[in-house]
Amino acid sequence: MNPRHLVLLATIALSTGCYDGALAEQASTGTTTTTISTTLEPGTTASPDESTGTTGEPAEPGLGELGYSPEDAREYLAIIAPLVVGRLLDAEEDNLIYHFGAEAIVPIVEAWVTEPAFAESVRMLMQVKLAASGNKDGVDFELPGNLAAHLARNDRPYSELLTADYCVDGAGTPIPCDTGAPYQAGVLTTRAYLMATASRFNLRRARRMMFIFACATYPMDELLQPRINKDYLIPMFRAETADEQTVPEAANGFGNGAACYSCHGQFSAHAQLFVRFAQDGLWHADATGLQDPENELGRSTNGLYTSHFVSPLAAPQEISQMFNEPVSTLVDAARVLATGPKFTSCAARNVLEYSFGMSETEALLIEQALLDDLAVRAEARDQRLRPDSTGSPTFGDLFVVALTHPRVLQAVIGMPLGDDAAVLDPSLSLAPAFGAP
Amino acid sequence: MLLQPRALITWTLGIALLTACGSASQPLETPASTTEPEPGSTTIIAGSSSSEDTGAEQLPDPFELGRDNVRLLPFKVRFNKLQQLTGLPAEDPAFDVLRARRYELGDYDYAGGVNPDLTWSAAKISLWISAMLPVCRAPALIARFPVFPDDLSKFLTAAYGTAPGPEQLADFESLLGDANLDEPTRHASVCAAALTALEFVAR
Repeated sequence: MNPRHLVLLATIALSTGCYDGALAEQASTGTTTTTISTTLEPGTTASPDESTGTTGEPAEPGLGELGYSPEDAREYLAIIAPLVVGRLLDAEEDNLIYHFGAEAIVPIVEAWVTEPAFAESVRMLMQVKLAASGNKDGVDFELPGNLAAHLARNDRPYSELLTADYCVDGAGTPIPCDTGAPYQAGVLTTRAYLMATASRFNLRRARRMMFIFACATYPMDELLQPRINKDYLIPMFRAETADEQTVPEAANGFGNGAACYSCHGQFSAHAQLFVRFAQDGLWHADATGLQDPENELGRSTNGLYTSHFVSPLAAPQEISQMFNEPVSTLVDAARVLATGPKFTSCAARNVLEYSFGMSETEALLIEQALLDDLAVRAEARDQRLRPDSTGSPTFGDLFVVALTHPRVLQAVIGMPLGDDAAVLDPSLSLAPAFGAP
Repeated sequence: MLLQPRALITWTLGIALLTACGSASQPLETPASTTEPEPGSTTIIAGSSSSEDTGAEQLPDPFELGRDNVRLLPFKVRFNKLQQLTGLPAEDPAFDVLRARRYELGDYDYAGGVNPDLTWSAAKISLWISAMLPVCRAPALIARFPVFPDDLSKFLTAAYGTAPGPEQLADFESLLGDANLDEPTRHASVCAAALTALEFVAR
């Protein structure tokens, strides 16, 4: 028997206080020394201790108690397994569901995030999210996916997607990133990200960074991201109405219409961080940030992009601000972003989007209260598992809390059926019913 | 000639109906979630009997998936499932066609300008079937499921993750009963049809 299943069985057994003879027989072939003799009818679930889980924390109802049947559990896990671990349920998982019903969902998902295939799923998640995979003209577009898989495989914080001061090669070995910049900020300082999002004024680089990691779109809340003083911007971005536009090329407005300043007052702060990265993703110490008079709007010289800032002194600098905090480079900005108010809930949205094959448009409609709850639970799980860590939730934390949340099950397979489908507080998490995972 | 059992036909028709697409040659995009929540599906019942009894909060689904809609699995996920089913590595010759035509079947290579494609069309179904035939003829798969119908139920269970119902088995038995096919062709046909069915390629 696979050791992970022994752990899984022991977790269930300890939390439910019961065990089935058949499973005990299987377990006896392994190394476990747990003695469990209570029998259980197939498909029925025993309640954990009424008051506490195995860690002494207040127990919360398991999914079985919420009314989900073994068939519900099998249906749900069969839906998500291919995306999370690239396979169908195996015989041992089927056995667990048969014996423990929906109570098996949490330990099965917890076991999944330790499998090698999980890291490959995380790779796919980030490849699609960042539109980066493959190789071309000597540029390794696999670097973002490699880093994501590395973090998942090694249970490193999700935030290191932005804060890692290294990249990772195809063999999983840390290497310097490939932009030539004198600093590194995870996926943001890969040529893959920078080339995939290259655009005039560095708008797309800023927009995707904020959308993927802060779930923020322009214009965003002024309290979160105060606008840069209008006078610091080049004239075309100062306009708030068509009448205020003084630049002929922008007279007809574009993007958000004539109200340029509403978005670019914020874009300016974030786009500035990329001012020294050329369209090929390489870093240039000698970037000017100034418009190339021979080129289209938004393009500077040497394949670089124009700064929003009007001052020739400010335009080439990477100094800017993120969420009203001064930052000197992308490294600082990434740190602020990774500790921002919506960073973890946004990560949860990315996980749900991937796990259920949603489009970004569909994912925008995920209830914010659920995402906020998932963020709280992911952080709590991280603290429970890594009390000495100063990091933040891992991919594993995010997947476990997201895919075992009762309201996620509700959205995927519906409400439990049957007369005894007594459902408790829908915001309750299930993990504590099994103790510290 | 490869025959299509009812499961495959039903699935193809189902996709067409779902998308209300008039032309089989047009790509069929797997539908986004548009269905209304089913009655009762948006209510969390708190307490022992009903929310009215307890006054507990009733919450809607936190997101819409359109549970009745079909979503094609990403190519890599479908490929992973095939590797699991056959026990063969990705580079095995049985997957030569699949690997060679993977971008036509939805895989992505952003550096090469190929985005993931989760649409499914008659042309893609046909291509997928042609990629499944070498998989179905692979000695590893035949060794695991040598005889149909004897091993059909076991094969479908392994492929779909759930034991097939009587109707599902009946779909394939009509194909198995076709006297015009020799045994290897019948085996490959049933296998390819099963691996092209909704239960395998979508969720």
